[in-house]
Amino acid sequence: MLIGDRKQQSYEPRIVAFLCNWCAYAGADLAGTQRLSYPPNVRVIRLMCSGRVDPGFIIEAFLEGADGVIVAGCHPGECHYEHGNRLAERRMTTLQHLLGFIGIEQARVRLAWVSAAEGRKFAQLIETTVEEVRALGPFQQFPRRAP
Amino acid sequence: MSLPQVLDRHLRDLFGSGRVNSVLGAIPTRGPLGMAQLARTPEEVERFTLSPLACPNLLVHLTSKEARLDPTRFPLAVLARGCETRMLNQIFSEHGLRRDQVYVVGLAHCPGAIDPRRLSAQLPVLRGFPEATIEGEEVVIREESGELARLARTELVLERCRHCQNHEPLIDDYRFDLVEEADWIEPVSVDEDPGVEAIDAMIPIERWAYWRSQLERCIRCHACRDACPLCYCENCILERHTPCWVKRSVNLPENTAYQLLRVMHLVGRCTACGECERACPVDLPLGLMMRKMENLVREYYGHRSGLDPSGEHLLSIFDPRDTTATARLEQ
Repeated sequence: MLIGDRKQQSYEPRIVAFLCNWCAYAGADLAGTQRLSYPPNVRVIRLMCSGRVDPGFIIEAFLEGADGVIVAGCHPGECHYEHGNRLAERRMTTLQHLLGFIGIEQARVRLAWVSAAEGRKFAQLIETTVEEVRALGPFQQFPRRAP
Repeated sequence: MSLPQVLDRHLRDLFGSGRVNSVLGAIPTRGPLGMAQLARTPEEVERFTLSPLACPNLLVHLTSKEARLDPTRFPLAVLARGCETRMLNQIFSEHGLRRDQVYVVGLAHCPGAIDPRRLSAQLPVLRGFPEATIEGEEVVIREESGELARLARTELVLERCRHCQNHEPLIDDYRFDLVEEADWIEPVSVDEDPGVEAIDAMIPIERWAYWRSQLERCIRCHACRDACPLCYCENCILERHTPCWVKRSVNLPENTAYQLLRVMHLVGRCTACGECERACPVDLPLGLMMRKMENLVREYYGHRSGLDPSGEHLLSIFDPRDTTATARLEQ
Protein backbone atom coordinates (compact mmCIF):
# COMPACT_ATOMS: atom_id res chain seq x y z
CA MET A 1 0.00 0.00 0.00
CA LEU A 2 1.37 3.36 -1.06
CA ILE A 3 -0.07 5.20 1.86
CA GLY A 4 0.76 3.76 5.23
CA ASP A 5 -1.37 2.18 7.90
CA ARG A 6 -4.78 3.87 7.88
CA LYS A 7 -5.30 3.06 11.51
CA GLN A 8 -2.56 5.48 12.43
CA GLN A 9 -3.65 8.91 13.48
CA SER A 10 -2.54 10.53 10.22
CA TYR A 11 -5.33 9.50 7.91
CA GLU A 12 -4.62 9.92 4.23
CA PRO A 13 -7.62 9.69 1.94
CA ARG A 14 -7.46 7.52 -1.16
CA ILE A 15 -8.96 9.20 -4.20
CA VAL A 16 -9.60 7.48 -7.50
CA ALA A 17 -9.71 9.82 -10.49
CA PHE A 18 -11.20 8.77 -13.82
CA LEU A 19 -9.69 11.15 -16.37
CA CYS A 20 -10.53 11.43 -20.02
CA ASN A 21 -7.64 10.96 -22.41
CA TRP A 22 -8.11 14.21 -24.33
CA CYS A 23 -8.63 16.88 -21.71
CA ALA A 24 -8.41 15.96 -18.05
CA TYR A 25 -5.50 13.54 -18.45
CA ALA A 26 -3.65 16.08 -20.57
CA GLY A 27 -4.46 18.65 -17.87
CA ALA A 28 -2.95 16.38 -15.23
CA ASP A 29 0.08 15.96 -17.47
CA LEU A 30 0.39 19.71 -17.77
CA ALA A 31 0.23 20.07 -14.00
CA GLY A 32 3.22 17.71 -13.90
CA THR A 33 5.27 19.50 -16.57
CA GLN A 34 4.50 22.82 -14.88
CA ARG A 35 5.93 21.26 -11.71
CA LEU A 36 2.80 22.12 -9.74
CA SER A 37 2.53 20.23 -6.50
CA TYR A 38 -0.69 18.60 -5.41
CA PRO A 39 -1.45 15.90 -2.81
CA PRO A 40 -0.21 12.42 -3.75
CA ASN A 41 -3.49 10.81 -2.62
CA VAL A 42 -4.90 10.46 -6.08
CA ARG A 43 -4.81 7.33 -8.27
CA VAL A 44 -5.42 8.23 -11.87
CA ILE A 45 -7.26 5.91 -14.26
CA ARG A 46 -7.10 7.06 -17.86
CA LEU A 47 -10.15 6.46 -20.03
CA MET A 48 -10.78 7.57 -23.58
CA CYS A 49 -13.82 9.60 -22.53
CA SER A 50 -15.62 10.55 -19.35
CA GLY A 51 -18.68 9.01 -21.04
CA ARG A 52 -16.95 5.65 -20.57
CA VAL A 53 -17.43 5.86 -16.81
CA ASP A 54 -20.10 3.36 -15.88
CA PRO A 55 -21.77 4.06 -12.52
CA GLY A 56 -20.56 0.56 -11.64
CA PHE A 57 -16.94 1.77 -11.80
CA ILE A 58 -17.60 4.21 -9.00
CA ILE A 59 -19.42 1.66 -6.89
CA GLU A 60 -16.50 -0.70 -7.49
CA ALA A 61 -14.00 1.98 -6.44
CA PHE A 62 -15.84 2.45 -3.15
CA LEU A 63 -16.09 -1.30 -2.61
CA GLU A 64 -12.35 -1.62 -3.10
CA GLY A 65 -11.50 1.04 -0.56
CA ALA A 66 -11.58 4.44 -2.25
CA ASP A 67 -12.57 7.32 0.03
CA GLY A 68 -13.54 9.59 -2.85
CA VAL A 69 -13.96 9.46 -6.61
CA ILE A 70 -13.34 12.16 -9.19
CA VAL A 71 -14.60 11.97 -12.75
CA ALA A 72 -13.09 14.65 -14.96
CA GLY A 73 -13.60 15.27 -18.66
CA CYS A 74 -13.63 17.96 -21.30
CA HIS A 75 -15.69 21.10 -20.86
CA PRO A 76 -19.24 20.82 -22.25
CA GLY A 77 -19.12 21.29 -26.01
CA GLU A 78 -15.46 20.34 -26.24
CA CYS A 79 -15.73 16.57 -26.02
CA HIS A 80 -13.51 14.70 -28.46
CA TYR A 81 -16.49 12.46 -29.14
CA GLU A 82 -18.97 15.34 -29.43
CA HIS A 83 -21.06 14.71 -26.31
CA GLY A 84 -19.63 11.88 -24.21
CA ASN A 85 -19.11 14.28 -21.31
CA ARG A 86 -22.74 15.34 -21.42
CA LEU A 87 -23.78 11.72 -21.00
CA ALA A 88 -21.35 11.39 -18.10
CA GLU A 89 -23.00 14.45 -16.59
CA ARG A 90 -26.43 12.79 -16.38
CA ARG A 91 -25.03 9.51 -15.11
CA MET A 92 -22.95 11.19 -12.43
CA THR A 93 -25.79 13.43 -11.30
CA THR A 94 -28.20 10.54 -10.87
CA LEU A 95 -25.57 8.33 -9.22
CA GLN A 96 -24.51 11.07 -6.83
CA HIS A 97 -28.07 11.61 -5.69
CA LEU A 98 -28.68 7.91 -5.30
CA LEU A 99 -25.54 7.60 -3.17
CA GLY A 100 -26.63 10.69 -1.26
CA PHE A 101 -30.00 9.11 -0.61
CA ILE A 102 -28.47 6.07 1.08
CA GLY A 103 -26.13 8.27 3.11
CA ILE A 104 -22.88 8.61 1.17
CA GLU A 105 -21.70 12.22 1.53
CA GLN A 106 -21.99 14.13 -1.74
CA ALA A 107 -18.41 15.43 -1.55
CA ARG A 108 -17.06 11.91 -2.04
CA VAL A 109 -18.20 11.90 -5.65
CA ARG A 110 -17.14 14.78 -7.83
CA LEU A 111 -17.58 15.60 -11.47
CA ALA A 112 -15.34 18.28 -12.96
CA TRP A 113 -14.44 19.75 -16.31
CA VAL A 114 -10.69 20.18 -16.85
CA SER A 115 -9.27 21.14 -20.23
CA ALA A 116 -5.80 20.24 -21.50
CA ALA A 117 -4.65 23.79 -20.73
CA GLU A 118 -5.84 23.79 -17.13
CA GLY A 119 -2.99 22.21 -15.19
CA ARG A 120 -3.55 24.62 -12.33
CA LYS A 121 -7.27 23.84 -12.18
CA PHE A 122 -6.43 20.13 -12.01
CA ALA A 123 -4.03 20.66 -9.11
CA GLN A 124 -6.66 22.73 -7.30
CA LEU A 125 -9.33 20.12 -7.97
CA ILE A 126 -7.20 17.45 -6.32
CA GLU A 127 -6.35 19.73 -3.40
CA THR A 128 -9.96 20.67 -2.61
CA THR A 129 -11.19 17.10 -3.04
CA VAL A 130 -8.51 15.68 -0.76
CA GLU A 131 -9.25 18.35 1.85
CA GLU A 132 -12.97 17.73 1.80
CA VAL A 133 -12.64 13.95 1.89
CA ARG A 134 -10.07 14.21 4.69
CA ALA A 135 -12.60 16.19 6.69
CA LEU A 136 -15.21 13.46 6.11
CA GLY A 137 -12.87 10.71 7.26
CA PRO A 138 -12.41 7.21 5.85
CA PHE A 139 -15.18 5.72 3.73
CA GLN A 140 -16.82 3.34 6.17
CA GLN A 141 -20.18 2.67 4.60
CA PHE A 142 -19.58 -0.30 2.36
CA PRO A 143 -15.92 -1.12 1.66
CA ARG A 144 -15.18 -4.82 1.13
CA ARG A 145 -12.38 -4.66 3.71
CA ALA A 146 -12.82 -2.64 6.87
CA PRO A 147 -10.82 0.62 6.72
CA MET B 1 -65.37 -14.14 -9.53
CA SER B 2 -64.91 -14.52 -13.27
CA LEU B 3 -64.74 -11.76 -15.85
CA PRO B 4 -67.77 -9.65 -16.79
CA GLN B 5 -69.56 -11.14 -19.75
CA VAL B 6 -68.69 -8.45 -22.26
CA LEU B 7 -64.97 -8.74 -21.54
CA ASP B 8 -65.07 -12.52 -21.46
CA ARG B 9 -66.76 -12.54 -24.87
CA HIS B 10 -64.22 -10.09 -26.28
CA LEU B 11 -61.28 -12.22 -25.16
CA ARG B 12 -62.85 -15.36 -26.63
CA ASP B 13 -63.40 -13.50 -29.92
CA LEU B 14 -59.72 -12.57 -29.95
CA PHE B 15 -58.85 -16.25 -29.88
CA GLY B 16 -61.55 -17.04 -32.45
CA SER B 17 -60.32 -14.49 -34.94
CA GLY B 18 -56.72 -15.64 -34.50
CA ARG B 19 -55.73 -12.15 -33.35
CA VAL B 20 -53.85 -13.51 -30.30
CA ASN B 21 -52.25 -16.78 -29.27
CA SER B 22 -52.68 -16.27 -25.55
CA VAL B 23 -54.18 -13.98 -22.98
CA LEU B 24 -52.38 -12.87 -19.83
CA GLY B 25 -54.51 -12.14 -16.79
CA ALA B 26 -54.74 -12.80 -13.10
CA ILE B 27 -56.47 -15.70 -11.36
CA PRO B 28 -57.60 -15.77 -7.72
CA THR B 29 -55.48 -17.60 -5.16
CA ARG B 30 -55.91 -18.66 -1.59
CA GLY B 31 -55.22 -15.78 0.73
CA PRO B 32 -54.84 -12.13 -0.15
CA LEU B 33 -53.05 -12.29 -3.50
CA GLY B 34 -53.88 -12.91 -7.15
CA MET B 35 -51.57 -14.81 -9.44
CA ALA B 36 -50.64 -14.36 -13.10
CA GLN B 37 -51.96 -16.92 -15.52
CA LEU B 38 -51.42 -17.34 -19.24
CA ALA B 39 -54.56 -18.56 -21.01
CA ARG B 40 -53.81 -20.39 -24.24
CA THR B 41 -57.37 -21.51 -24.97
CA PRO B 42 -60.66 -19.56 -24.81
CA GLU B 43 -61.86 -21.86 -21.99
CA GLU B 44 -59.04 -20.82 -19.68
CA VAL B 45 -60.21 -17.21 -19.83
CA GLU B 46 -63.02 -18.23 -17.47
CA ARG B 47 -60.64 -18.41 -14.54
CA PHE B 48 -59.55 -14.79 -14.81
CA THR B 49 -60.50 -12.16 -12.26
CA LEU B 50 -60.52 -8.38 -12.16
CA SER B 51 -60.47 -8.40 -8.37
CA PRO B 52 -58.35 -5.69 -6.72
CA LEU B 53 -56.71 -8.52 -4.79
CA ALA B 54 -54.87 -9.47 -7.99
CA CYS B 55 -52.13 -6.91 -7.46
CA PRO B 56 -48.98 -8.34 -9.13
CA ASN B 57 -47.64 -6.56 -12.18
CA LEU B 58 -48.30 -9.04 -14.96
CA LEU B 59 -45.94 -7.55 -17.51
CA VAL B 60 -42.96 -9.53 -16.23
CA HIS B 61 -44.47 -12.47 -18.13
CA LEU B 62 -44.02 -10.54 -21.36
CA THR B 63 -40.33 -9.82 -20.95
CA SER B 64 -39.03 -12.64 -18.74
CA LYS B 65 -36.67 -15.34 -19.90
CA GLU B 66 -39.61 -17.76 -20.09
CA ALA B 67 -41.37 -15.41 -22.52
CA ARG B 68 -38.21 -15.08 -24.62
CA LEU B 69 -37.89 -18.85 -24.84
CA ASP B 70 -41.55 -19.21 -25.74
CA PRO B 71 -42.31 -17.01 -28.78
CA THR B 72 -45.53 -18.97 -29.45
CA ARG B 73 -47.32 -17.03 -26.73
CA PHE B 74 -47.18 -13.89 -28.92
CA PRO B 75 -49.18 -12.06 -30.09
CA LEU B 76 -50.53 -11.85 -26.61
CA ALA B 77 -53.44 -9.97 -25.10
CA VAL B 78 -52.82 -8.53 -21.66
CA LEU B 79 -55.28 -7.16 -19.13
CA ALA B 80 -53.46 -3.96 -18.22
CA ARG B 81 -54.27 -1.23 -15.74
CA GLY B 82 -53.06 2.34 -16.24
CA CYS B 83 -49.74 1.76 -14.49
CA GLU B 84 -49.10 -1.31 -16.60
CA THR B 85 -49.82 0.49 -19.86
CA ARG B 86 -47.29 3.13 -18.84
CA MET B 87 -44.70 0.43 -18.32
CA LEU B 88 -45.67 -1.19 -21.63
CA ASN B 89 -44.99 2.15 -23.31
CA GLN B 90 -41.55 2.18 -21.74
CA ILE B 91 -40.86 -1.37 -22.96
CA PHE B 92 -41.99 -0.42 -26.49
CA SER B 93 -39.82 2.71 -26.43
CA GLU B 94 -36.70 0.66 -25.68
CA HIS B 95 -37.68 -2.00 -28.25
CA GLY B 96 -38.13 -4.70 -25.63
CA LEU B 97 -41.32 -5.72 -27.44
CA ARG B 98 -42.99 -4.60 -30.64
CA ARG B 99 -46.37 -2.92 -30.38
CA ASP B 100 -47.92 -5.52 -32.73
CA GLN B 101 -46.91 -8.34 -30.37
CA VAL B 102 -49.20 -7.10 -27.65
CA TYR B 103 -52.95 -6.55 -27.69
CA VAL B 104 -53.70 -4.21 -24.83
CA VAL B 105 -56.98 -4.65 -23.00
CA GLY B 106 -56.97 -1.42 -21.03
CA LEU B 107 -58.68 -1.52 -17.64
CA ALA B 108 -59.90 2.04 -17.18
CA HIS B 109 -61.01 3.92 -14.04
CA CYS B 110 -58.69 1.81 -11.86
CA PRO B 111 -59.41 2.39 -8.15
CA GLY B 112 -56.16 0.69 -7.09
CA ALA B 113 -55.03 -2.78 -6.12
CA ILE B 114 -54.94 -4.15 -2.61
CA ASP B 115 -51.59 -4.61 -0.88
CA PRO B 116 -51.55 -8.15 0.56
CA ARG B 117 -49.32 -7.02 3.44
CA ARG B 118 -51.63 -4.20 4.44
CA LEU B 119 -54.62 -6.52 4.19
CA SER B 120 -52.92 -9.21 6.27
CA ALA B 121 -52.07 -6.63 8.90
CA GLN B 122 -55.76 -5.83 9.30
CA LEU B 123 -57.17 -9.29 8.66
CA PRO B 124 -54.56 -11.88 9.68
CA VAL B 125 -56.74 -14.87 8.78
CA LEU B 126 -58.38 -15.18 5.39
CA ARG B 127 -59.87 -18.56 4.53
CA GLY B 128 -60.38 -20.05 1.10
CA PHE B 129 -60.53 -17.76 -1.92
CA PRO B 130 -61.43 -14.32 -0.58
CA GLU B 131 -63.07 -11.75 -2.79
CA ALA B 132 -62.85 -7.99 -2.67
CA THR B 133 -64.83 -5.25 -4.29
CA ILE B 134 -64.17 -1.55 -4.10
CA GLU B 135 -67.27 0.48 -3.34
CA GLY B 136 -66.41 4.14 -3.22
CA GLU B 137 -63.92 4.77 -0.44
CA GLU B 138 -64.57 1.35 1.07
CA VAL B 139 -63.22 -2.06 0.24
CA VAL B 140 -65.55 -4.94 1.00
CA ILE B 141 -63.77 -8.22 1.78
CA ARG B 142 -65.84 -11.38 1.45
CA GLU B 143 -65.11 -14.97 2.30
CA GLU B 144 -67.20 -17.92 1.18
CA SER B 145 -69.19 -17.61 4.41
CA GLY B 146 -70.14 -14.01 3.70
CA GLU B 147 -69.03 -10.45 4.22
CA LEU B 148 -66.00 -10.22 6.46
CA ALA B 149 -65.00 -6.59 6.72
CA ARG B 150 -65.30 -3.11 5.27
CA LEU B 151 -62.00 -1.25 5.22
CA ALA B 152 -60.86 2.17 4.01
CA ARG B 153 -59.57 2.07 0.44
CA THR B 154 -56.65 4.47 0.98
CA GLU B 155 -55.41 2.39 3.92
CA LEU B 156 -55.42 -0.81 1.93
CA VAL B 157 -54.14 -0.08 -1.58
CA LEU B 158 -50.53 -0.59 -2.70
CA GLU B 159 -48.07 2.22 -2.18
CA ARG B 160 -47.90 2.76 -5.95
CA CYS B 161 -51.66 3.22 -6.07
CA ARG B 162 -51.48 5.96 -3.46
CA HIS B 163 -49.18 7.96 -5.74
CA CYS B 164 -50.90 6.86 -8.93
CA GLN B 165 -51.07 9.35 -11.77
CA ASN B 166 -52.30 6.85 -14.32
CA HIS B 167 -55.77 5.68 -13.39
CA GLU B 168 -56.59 5.49 -17.09
CA PRO B 169 -54.73 3.40 -19.70
CA LEU B 170 -52.27 5.36 -21.84
CA ILE B 171 -52.64 2.92 -24.72
CA ASP B 172 -55.32 0.38 -25.45
CA ASP B 173 -56.77 -1.70 -28.23
CA TYR B 174 -59.92 -2.34 -26.21
CA ARG B 175 -61.11 -0.52 -23.14
CA PHE B 176 -63.05 -1.83 -20.19
CA ASP B 177 -64.12 0.30 -17.22
CA LEU B 178 -63.35 -1.27 -13.83
CA VAL B 179 -65.82 1.02 -12.09
CA GLU B 180 -68.57 3.05 -13.71
CA GLU B 181 -67.79 6.48 -12.33
CA ALA B 182 -64.20 7.60 -11.89
CA ASP B 183 -64.86 11.02 -10.40
CA TRP B 184 -64.21 9.90 -6.86
CA ILE B 185 -60.71 8.59 -7.59
CA GLU B 186 -58.68 11.41 -6.11
CA PRO B 187 -55.59 12.56 -7.96
CA VAL B 188 -52.76 12.50 -5.42
CA SER B 189 -50.10 15.17 -5.56
CA VAL B 190 -46.90 13.92 -7.23
CA ASP B 191 -44.63 15.67 -4.78
CA GLU B 192 -46.26 14.19 -1.76
CA ASP B 193 -44.20 11.21 -0.68
CA PRO B 194 -43.73 11.10 3.10
CA GLY B 195 -41.46 8.05 2.96
CA VAL B 196 -38.91 9.68 0.65
CA GLU B 197 -39.22 13.05 2.35
CA ALA B 198 -38.48 11.51 5.74
CA ILE B 199 -35.15 10.16 4.45
CA ASP B 200 -34.34 13.38 2.59
CA ALA B 201 -34.72 15.22 5.89
CA MET B 202 -32.05 13.08 7.59
CA ILE B 203 -28.34 13.84 7.72
CA PRO B 204 -26.03 11.38 5.88
CA ILE B 205 -25.13 9.42 9.03
CA GLU B 206 -28.79 8.81 9.86
CA ARG B 207 -29.58 7.88 6.27
CA TRP B 208 -26.81 5.33 6.19
CA ALA B 209 -27.82 3.95 9.60
CA TYR B 210 -31.30 3.41 8.18
CA TRP B 211 -30.18 1.85 4.89
CA ARG B 212 -27.54 -0.24 6.64
CA SER B 213 -30.15 -1.78 8.89
CA GLN B 214 -32.26 -2.52 5.82
CA LEU B 215 -29.57 -3.73 3.41
CA GLU B 216 -28.07 -6.05 6.02
CA ARG B 217 -31.29 -8.04 5.87
CA CYS B 218 -31.12 -8.61 2.11
CA ILE B 219 -30.79 -12.31 1.31
CA ARG B 220 -29.85 -11.69 -2.33
CA CYS B 221 -32.60 -13.87 -3.71
CA HIS B 222 -32.82 -11.58 -6.78
CA ALA B 223 -36.63 -11.50 -6.42
CA CYS B 224 -36.62 -7.71 -6.93
CA ARG B 225 -34.86 -8.16 -10.25
CA ASP B 226 -36.93 -11.13 -11.35
CA ALA B 227 -40.21 -9.42 -10.53
CA CYS B 228 -39.28 -6.29 -12.47
CA PRO B 229 -40.74 -6.24 -16.00
CA LEU B 230 -38.00 -3.78 -17.01
CA CYS B 231 -35.12 -6.02 -15.90
CA TYR B 232 -34.94 -8.18 -18.99
CA CYS B 233 -31.30 -8.04 -20.14
CA GLU B 234 -30.38 -11.46 -21.51
CA ASN B 235 -27.03 -11.21 -19.77
CA CYS B 236 -27.63 -9.56 -16.40
CA ILE B 237 -24.54 -7.89 -14.91
CA LEU B 238 -25.74 -8.85 -11.45
CA GLU B 239 -25.01 -12.50 -12.13
CA ARG B 240 -22.16 -12.22 -14.61
CA HIS B 241 -18.81 -13.66 -13.52
CA THR B 242 -16.49 -12.04 -16.07
CA PRO B 243 -16.30 -9.21 -15.25
CA CYS B 244 -17.65 -9.73 -11.78
CA TRP B 245 -19.43 -6.49 -10.86
CA VAL B 246 -20.84 -7.78 -7.63
CA LYS B 247 -19.88 -10.90 -5.73
CA ARG B 248 -22.41 -13.49 -4.69
CA SER B 249 -21.48 -13.26 -1.01
CA VAL B 250 -24.38 -12.10 1.13
CA ASN B 251 -22.92 -9.26 3.16
CA LEU B 252 -23.41 -5.55 3.54
CA PRO B 253 -20.95 -4.29 0.89
CA GLU B 254 -22.13 -6.69 -1.79
CA ASN B 255 -25.80 -6.20 -0.94
CA THR B 256 -25.37 -2.43 -1.18
CA ALA B 257 -23.52 -2.68 -4.48
CA TYR B 258 -26.17 -5.04 -5.79
CA GLN B 259 -29.00 -2.64 -5.02
CA LEU B 260 -27.10 0.41 -6.28
CA LEU B 261 -26.32 -1.29 -9.58
CA ARG B 262 -29.88 -2.50 -9.92
CA VAL B 263 -31.26 0.97 -9.31
CA MET B 264 -28.75 2.62 -11.66
CA HIS B 265 -29.88 0.28 -14.43
CA LEU B 266 -33.46 1.44 -13.89
CA VAL B 267 -32.94 5.18 -13.56
CA GLY B 268 -35.06 6.96 -16.15
CA ARG B 269 -36.78 3.69 -17.09
CA CYS B 270 -38.47 2.74 -13.83
CA THR B 271 -42.13 3.70 -13.67
CA ALA B 272 -42.15 3.24 -9.86
CA CYS B 273 -44.62 0.38 -9.99
CA GLY B 274 -43.31 -0.89 -6.65
CA GLU B 275 -43.19 -4.50 -7.82
CA CYS B 276 -39.61 -4.93 -6.49
CA GLU B 277 -40.78 -3.94 -3.02
CA ARG B 278 -43.85 -6.16 -3.21
CA ALA B 279 -41.79 -9.14 -4.33
CA CYS B 280 -39.15 -8.73 -1.61
CA PRO B 281 -39.42 -11.60 0.88
CA VAL B 282 -37.70 -9.63 3.65
CA ASP B 283 -39.67 -6.40 3.13
CA LEU B 284 -36.82 -4.11 2.10
CA PRO B 285 -38.16 -0.62 1.31
CA LEU B 286 -36.90 -0.76 -2.29
CA GLY B 287 -39.79 1.35 -3.51
CA LEU B 288 -38.27 4.30 -1.62
CA MET B 289 -35.14 4.22 -3.80
CA MET B 290 -37.13 3.82 -6.98
CA ARG B 291 -39.51 6.66 -6.15
CA LYS B 292 -36.64 8.89 -5.07
CA MET B 293 -34.95 8.41 -8.44
CA GLU B 294 -38.22 8.89 -10.30
CA ASN B 295 -38.81 12.17 -8.46
CA LEU B 296 -35.24 13.24 -9.15
CA VAL B 297 -35.34 12.73 -12.91
CA ARG B 298 -38.66 14.52 -13.06
CA GLU B 299 -37.31 17.45 -11.10
CA TYR B 300 -33.94 17.71 -12.87
CA TYR B 301 -34.73 16.62 -16.40
CA GLY B 302 -38.52 16.87 -16.61
CA HIS B 303 -38.43 13.21 -17.51
CA ARG B 304 -41.25 10.78 -16.84
CA SER B 305 -40.63 7.31 -18.15
CA GLY B 306 -43.23 5.49 -20.19
CA LEU B 307 -45.32 8.43 -21.27
CA ASP B 308 -43.88 8.52 -24.77
CA PRO B 309 -43.61 5.21 -26.67
CA SER B 310 -41.01 6.76 -28.99
CA GLY B 311 -39.06 8.39 -26.13
CA GLU B 312 -35.34 7.89 -25.72
CA HIS B 313 -33.51 6.62 -22.67
CA LEU B 314 -32.77 9.38 -20.18
CA LEU B 315 -29.09 8.48 -19.79
CA SER B 316 -28.45 8.11 -23.53
CA ILE B 317 -29.41 11.65 -24.44
CA PHE B 318 -28.62 15.08 -23.05
CA ASP B 319 -30.00 18.56 -23.01
CA PRO B 320 -28.00 21.82 -23.14
CA ARG B 321 -29.81 22.83 -19.94
CA ASP B 322 -28.35 19.91 -17.98
CA THR B 323 -25.49 22.10 -16.83
CA THR B 324 -27.82 23.81 -14.39
CA ALA B 325 -28.16 20.49 -12.63
CA THR B 326 -24.40 19.96 -12.73
CA ALA B 327 -23.79 23.38 -11.24
CA ARG B 328 -25.71 22.22 -8.18
CA LEU B 329 -23.54 19.12 -8.15
CA GLU B 330 -20.25 20.99 -8.35
CA GLN B 331 -20.96 23.52 -5.63
